[in-house]
Amino acid sequence: MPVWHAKTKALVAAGELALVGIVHEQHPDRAALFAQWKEFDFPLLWDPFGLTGMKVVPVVTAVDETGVVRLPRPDPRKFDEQFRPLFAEMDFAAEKDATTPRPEGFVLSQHVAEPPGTIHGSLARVLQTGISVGPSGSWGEWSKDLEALMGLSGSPFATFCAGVAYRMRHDSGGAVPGDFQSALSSWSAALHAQPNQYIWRRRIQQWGPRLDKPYPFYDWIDGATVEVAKRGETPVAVRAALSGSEVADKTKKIPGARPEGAALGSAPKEIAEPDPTGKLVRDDGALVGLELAVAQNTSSAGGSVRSPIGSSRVHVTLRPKKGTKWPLDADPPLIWLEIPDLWDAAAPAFEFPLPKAGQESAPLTADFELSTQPSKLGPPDESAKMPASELKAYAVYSICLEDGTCVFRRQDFSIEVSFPAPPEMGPPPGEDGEPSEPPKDADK
Amino acid sequence: MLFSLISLAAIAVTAAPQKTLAPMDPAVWTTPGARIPDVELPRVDGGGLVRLGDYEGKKLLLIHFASW
Repeated sequence: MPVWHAKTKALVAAGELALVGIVHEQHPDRAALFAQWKEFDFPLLWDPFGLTGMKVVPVVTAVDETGVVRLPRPDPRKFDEQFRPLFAEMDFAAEKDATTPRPEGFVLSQHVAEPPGTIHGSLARVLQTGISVGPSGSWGEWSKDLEALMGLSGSPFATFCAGVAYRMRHDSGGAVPGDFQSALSSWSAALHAQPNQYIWRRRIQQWGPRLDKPYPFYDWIDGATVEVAKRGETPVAVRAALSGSEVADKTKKIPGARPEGAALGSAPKEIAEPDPTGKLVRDDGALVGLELAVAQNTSSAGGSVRSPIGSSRVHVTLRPKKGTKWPLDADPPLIWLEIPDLWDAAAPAFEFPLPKAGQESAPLTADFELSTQPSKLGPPDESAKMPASELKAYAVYSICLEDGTCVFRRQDFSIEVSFPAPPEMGPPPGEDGEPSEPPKDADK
Repeated sequence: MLFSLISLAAIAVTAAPQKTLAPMDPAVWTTPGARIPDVELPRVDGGGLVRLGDYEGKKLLLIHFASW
């Protein structure tokens, strides 16, 4: 994208070309920060549901004055020998394709006034509102539209859209426990039906295990924010907090990883088990709500097989109930995992970030990875024990009540990890409704 | 009786919320000679709506991408 922006500046300045980007990601503010960082001076449009139908990005298309595709997938490295002579300098006025009718599209302003209960009306209103809804924001009168989209089903695309809507509500002030897990489950179901939909795969991988990622997703955000501020501009605020998985890099060691040779389940010296005797007073959720979402590796849907089958990224959100607050002078909340046989984790203890001043009632989130131990090389051992699918864990935290009293509490929970079917070598040809690519030597 | 059943069926069909949705064919964006669909979506920076149809009369470089 930045390459095309640089290469086409002169044409755009001369009024001979316009650039438009269509962004295929969940959070529009992140793309807006990217555009600010790269100093894009053209519009980026938001298509989180994938209405435009793309299965991969980036895809670049050169379109003539009548809306006809003239140069698909141009190569920026061949700008002078391809893009200029075959598109920018061509006169397409006499071409007969200009009379070809346009296929059906999606014009938001034509749908936004449609009555409740129509899918396109709900999509239009959710897209228009979702641009500005943040973690403390409300969907207000558009909640019903969001809920209508959460109820979509009947096709992989509809199921994916339902997941997008669930995640939108999760990122708002109206989040409901289970929204994030519902988003992940919807996306996973859609991807299993259409394994070649790489935009859907990326949506899961964004929050998935480190080794299932083709690259870190949002590790550029901190640097971009600093650079933009140095220019004297106010950086676009990133509304939904970045999770560890969104900046994780598969080529780097997991921070806090268990030292090599250390016994499985052994705690790092600096964090001892907070309640080994189980005597701490339990919070049954009356003071702090605990939400879990488990993002599994996408290899069970075909494609990447780099990640161990059982590897998962677990996202835990602690949400203070009305009237309660995090103290700013206490140790941060902590999760303690009871790691059973055949499982591995970087450590049994994971700390939440410290609450920030002014945000004492805001939810805190932490994420960490779990994986089954790699199986031994050689033929499969059918008598081998299967790892447990439920892991016990607990969180400990200090929380202050309405009268100012602060208490230390423990909340028990369990993490369920289902084991997806072993990866296959890709879907059978045509299974997801599209022809498989011919072998490279098919025309020889 | 038959009329009543047909009427009930018609009511059921019209009352049921629309539950199906289809994306655009991705080939329309990359097939030489194809006209691209008219799409209007919000700008990621909150700067309002932009409609591709409004670019008629100008050559357009359209880039589908993600910041990741």
